[in-house]
Amino acid sequence: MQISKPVKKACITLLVLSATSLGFGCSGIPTRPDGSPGYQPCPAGSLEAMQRLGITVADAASITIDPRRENDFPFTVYDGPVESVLTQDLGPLPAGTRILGRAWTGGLDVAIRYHEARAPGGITLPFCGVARDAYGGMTKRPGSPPGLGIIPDGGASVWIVDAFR
Amino acid sequence: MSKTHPLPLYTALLVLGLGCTSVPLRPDGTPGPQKCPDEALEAMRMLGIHPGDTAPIVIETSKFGQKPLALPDGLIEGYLKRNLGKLPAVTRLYGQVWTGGTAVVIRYYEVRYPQGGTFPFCGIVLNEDGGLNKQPGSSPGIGVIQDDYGTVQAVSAFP
Repeated sequence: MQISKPVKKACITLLVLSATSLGFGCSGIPTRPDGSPGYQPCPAGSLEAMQRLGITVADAASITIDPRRENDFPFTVYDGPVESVLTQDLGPLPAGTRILGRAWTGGLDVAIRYHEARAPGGITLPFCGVARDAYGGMTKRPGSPPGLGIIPDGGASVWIVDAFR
Repeated sequence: MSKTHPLPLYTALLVLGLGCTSVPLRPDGTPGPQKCPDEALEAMRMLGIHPGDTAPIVIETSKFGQKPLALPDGLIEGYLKRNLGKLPAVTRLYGQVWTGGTAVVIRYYEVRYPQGGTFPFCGIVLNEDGGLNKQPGSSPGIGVIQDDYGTVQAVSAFP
């Protein structure tokens, strides 16, 4: 059977689109009983890319979750894309490096998973890290409305992981 | 040559992540007995860890310092606070939580050596002083326990 070129192209486009939406967690990610996101593998090539820079699992650096709102107290995290900034060097990634991710606010704690780093000067690399803040710094204030999570402040740390758990 | 075998491990984790654990559950939702794979026993021997050895840990790194600690069913990442055999403090522990019983059950299946590879592992968190007993405020799928500190014990099989 012959498949015409345009049909093939459309199929590939569809495949890529569905893979992308999965990767960004709009669907397809299992949810845990508290509403937080479940297992998700690291973005393809991220561990290798970070390893080449000498960044390994369990490395960490402090971040500002949203530099445009860094003085908001308390701080609101919204479901969806997040662009945070390193306020400390992470291996060769200097303070000021942007890290792109996605936030989920359905759980007890706000979850932020980062999939890309953009260093000053335009170097972009796939990335695999999560936001953490000790002593309940990511714990949602009870009664946060759906779609957002209110936490004490916009400071946290990003930790390199080998999978999103 | 045969240091780590990341592919089968990731596959195992993926299976865990999708909630398809092969562990048979007891009527209250706690996991039943489970063998410790030969590769894990071999890795633990290599790492100088004997069944019964214990070490203090942080149960879930993402919830460090929370007291009480609300844990939803699912995967967790803990870490060693002191060495366990040749595994130094800060070694990552990957595992799973079940909250169906009167106490939370935690099993770790994999460890990640700092700056190094992963090894299969079999360890449980001991319910010392009742620290894993579920407290008021627990709800279906979420176990509220004392805090994020625990003791991991290496095992030759999961009880």
